[in-house]
Amino acid sequence: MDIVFELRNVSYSYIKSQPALVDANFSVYRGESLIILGANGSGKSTLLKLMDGLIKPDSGDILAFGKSILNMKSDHEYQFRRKVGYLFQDSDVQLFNTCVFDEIAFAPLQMGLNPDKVKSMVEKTLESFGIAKLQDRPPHRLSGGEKKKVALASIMVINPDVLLLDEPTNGLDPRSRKWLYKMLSNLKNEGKTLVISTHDLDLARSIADRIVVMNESHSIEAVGKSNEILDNSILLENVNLI
Amino acid sequence: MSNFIEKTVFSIQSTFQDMFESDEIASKRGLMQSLDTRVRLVSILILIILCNLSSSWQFLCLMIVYSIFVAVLSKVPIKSYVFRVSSVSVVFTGIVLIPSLFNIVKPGNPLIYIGRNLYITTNGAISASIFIMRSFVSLSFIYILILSTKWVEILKAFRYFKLPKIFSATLDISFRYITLFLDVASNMFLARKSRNVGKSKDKSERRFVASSMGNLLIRSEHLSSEVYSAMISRGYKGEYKTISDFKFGIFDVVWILFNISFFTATFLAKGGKLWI
Repeated sequence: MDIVFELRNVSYSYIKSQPALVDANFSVYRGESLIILGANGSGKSTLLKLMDGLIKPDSGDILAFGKSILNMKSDHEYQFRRKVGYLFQDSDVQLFNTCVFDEIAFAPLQMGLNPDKVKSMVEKTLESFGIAKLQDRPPHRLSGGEKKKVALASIMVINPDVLLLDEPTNGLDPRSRKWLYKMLSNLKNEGKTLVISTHDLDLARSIADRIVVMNESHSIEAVGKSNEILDNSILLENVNLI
Repeated sequence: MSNFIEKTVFSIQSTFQDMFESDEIASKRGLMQSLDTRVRLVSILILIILCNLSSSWQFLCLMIVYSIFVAVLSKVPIKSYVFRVSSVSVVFTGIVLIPSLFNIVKPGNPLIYIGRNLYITTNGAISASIFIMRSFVSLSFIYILILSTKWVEILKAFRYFKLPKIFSATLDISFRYITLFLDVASNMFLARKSRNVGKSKDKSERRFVASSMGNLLIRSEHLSSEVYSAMISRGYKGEYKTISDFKFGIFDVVWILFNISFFTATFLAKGGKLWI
């Protein structure tokens, strides 16, 4: 199987005395759904930001599609951003434009695509996400579920191969959660590589091929197949997940 | 200071309400709403320049009627329009202009005597009235523009006229996040109110306001770095690219032709004296 991401001894700390991630080592394979399970504050979001090249590790290396992403040059970064989409935990962070249409058009426009092509891409995405009626609405007037849909649409518009999703089900009502499960399942069936950080065990059970478990010391406790991890109640209890 | 928190929460909510209402009006079918945003922006600017160039009270009276007419046709709520515009132009501008009414600042023929050597002059009264009328008309047009146009459209028009992108992007993002911070601030005040019994001391109120400001500042710093990351993640490289989809239509042509004919006619009346 092709390796999409490879983390080698990655450590990171926001403040030197308090590590946020300690010595992380694992790989992500093409087309798999990898769930990063961990309690609040275990370093899941930090790990995803490192994988998206938004922050640089204090030590170690991260390879995406066989190349290090630590010092990307312009062309390499362009290719990387086209292939990898990142959904932030807080949708308000991600929705910074003044209307939904502009929000979804943002990524393809920044990547230099032709405005006419961008318009048709945005229209298709709005239709496929069932949010065409929201296109002129400002993001702050949307409900939590609608914001999450728009945020996901804003990264799916460029059709990335890999999706890094940070706590996607957080704060969603049952209907929106159901919609998201279905959407993630469709993406998985389309062959997208999904890396999802969560503490939602139901999501892990329904989507995961493999699971990386993080402990409260900000390091990786275990990596394994979905069933092996989710049936190990002692492990889940030790890392504060049940 | 006693119901300082209630007042603050109320003001925050009313700001939200205003924003909501302005978008509602911008979505109505009215005169201004049917025009291309670029035409709207430029024509409002020209109308403001025209009225500020004139020192004729007849022309300014005509402009007041014209602005009210435009407001009615653009479905701007007339009561709040007249109240808001007049309160700023008449009350605030009026207060600033009080000294210029008197013979000490503006010598001229006496109109009303206040004391033996102090009186309001005719010249002073006329200049003050003209100034207030100019301010009323200018504010009216700005008010009509803001209510009849969505903020996002105004920003797009700015971009079309080559306003530096970094400036328009900053405005764009500020507008987006000001609502989020208003929401956060409103919740902070409500959380405090929910735990507050009886009357608080002024000192503790001040301390709360100062700490809330600090808290918001820290949150805004964190949020700005997160938003920047979200932009980078979606391919932002320092230049904010957008789509502009303006359409110049028949309404715009009619509006432009009407205004040119109207102002040419007012200029030609009395051989151009009406403007001066």
